[in-house]
Amino acid sequence: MDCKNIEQHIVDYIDRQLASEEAKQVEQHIETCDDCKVLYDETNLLFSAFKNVEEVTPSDKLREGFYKLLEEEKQLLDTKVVQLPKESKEFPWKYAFQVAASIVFVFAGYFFGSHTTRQDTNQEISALQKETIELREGMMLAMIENQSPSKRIQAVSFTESFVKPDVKILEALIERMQYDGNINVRLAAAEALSEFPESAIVKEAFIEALTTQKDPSLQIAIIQFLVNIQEKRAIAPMQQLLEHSDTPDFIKEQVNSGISQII
Amino acid sequence: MKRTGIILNLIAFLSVVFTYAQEDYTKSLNGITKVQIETGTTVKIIAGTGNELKFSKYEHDELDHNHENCDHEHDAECYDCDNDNDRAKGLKAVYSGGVDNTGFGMSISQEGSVLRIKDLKSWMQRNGLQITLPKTMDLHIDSGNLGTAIVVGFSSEIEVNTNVGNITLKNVTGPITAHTSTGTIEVDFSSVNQSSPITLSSSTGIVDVSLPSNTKANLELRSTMGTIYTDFDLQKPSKDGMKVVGSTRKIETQLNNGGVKIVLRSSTGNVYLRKK
Repeated sequence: MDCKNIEQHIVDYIDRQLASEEAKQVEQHIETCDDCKVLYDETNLLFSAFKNVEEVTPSDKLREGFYKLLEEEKQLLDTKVVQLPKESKEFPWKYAFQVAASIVFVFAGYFFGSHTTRQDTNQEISALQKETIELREGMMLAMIENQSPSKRIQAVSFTESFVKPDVKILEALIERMQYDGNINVRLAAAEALSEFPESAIVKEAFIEALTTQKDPSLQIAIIQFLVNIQEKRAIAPMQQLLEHSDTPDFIKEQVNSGISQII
Repeated sequence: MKRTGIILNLIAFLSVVFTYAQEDYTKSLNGITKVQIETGTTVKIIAGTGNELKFSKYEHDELDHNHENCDHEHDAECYDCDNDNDRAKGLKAVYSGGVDNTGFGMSISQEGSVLRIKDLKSWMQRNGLQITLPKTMDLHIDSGNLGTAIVVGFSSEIEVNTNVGNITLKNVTGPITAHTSTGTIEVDFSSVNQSSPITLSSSTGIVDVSLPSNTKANLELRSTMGTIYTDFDLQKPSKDGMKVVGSTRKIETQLNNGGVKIVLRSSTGNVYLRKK
């Protein structure tokens, strides 16, 4: 083993890391070679000095300085963040779709809701109107037999709001026109019935009343109705009225002018 | 002798009291809400204070007719003066219309809450009938062929029917349903009850009505061949087009934004509506 090899192995020899054969060769060489002996002693001295040196713990100031530096370095790095080019940012289809869908849902909900409520209110209004008419019909039928003639007239006047009254209502009115004890009720009923000239039973009732009713006011109301609807079947009973001696002259005048108007 | 005189005087006094008591008939009206009167003569109904019915001697006043233009003595106008004649002594009057249960020639019967008063005497003998009733009593008066009906000071429902006689209602509120064939209807309202309609109709007579100026009403004025006069400012809604010839001439309008229905109707007479 020459001095060059010894130089390479000397550290391992001191740390006793060499194999025993190599260690023997290094030992023999050191004893024979003065240069290497000096190297060995010097290295041995250095290593023992390393061992003897106390470990120094870094001061807090050092730690602070370190972290300060680290922060500075970090900030430098932050400013250096490279912005991603905008072209690369994709349009947010998913997000847009969600927003659009939610808007659509809100409006659809609103329109659906308002539509159905409108339908509901329309139904409610028509139901209420129907109810009101039914109520009025009920009141009319209940009041028409009242002892007080004023109440009976009120009952008759309820029919003014009916567009197409029930047969029951018309029959009740006809009964009032024909048989009510009070002439004012009979007159009011005749006037109420005049509003429904298209009803066959009303026409029949008026033709019958023409021969049975003796009060001049009522006779005039009946004649006027029959003339207005151009009822030809009324001509015969009207001529009978002309022949009757009880008929007042002014009724006869009405009858004459009425007959001439029915063509 | 002196004693006999005293006794005779006493008897005379008692008989006077008795006959006077017979002239005024009263009856309590507990449980009665409506009085129905059927008579053939002029009937005057005045509002009294108590809850009772009272018949009394008819007293003529300015409501009957205009006294300035008449020359007769009203007290002398007595057709039933000889009614209390001696011939009827010990006899009882019988009537075809019913039994006299009042001693006044009247038959009174009760049907539920309705009291029916039927005049049994002929209108020729009964010259006028005066009845006092509480002012809230509902009235139904039927005064035959020639009778006139006069009602003063009632706040109840009044139903009146006459044929030839006039209908005079003074200081009333309604509801009123009145009809006469040829008579005049004259009604003076103190106020107008809004509960149910007022109908006044005359076939050939005049209808003359006075209403307080603040009356709320839906007016219907009809006169087929007569004319309608009023001093109310009736806002007649204008109608386009021509009117059908021969149709009822009718004015429908509202007074003070509308209220209870008031129908005034005459076939050949005029209708007068006055503001007071």
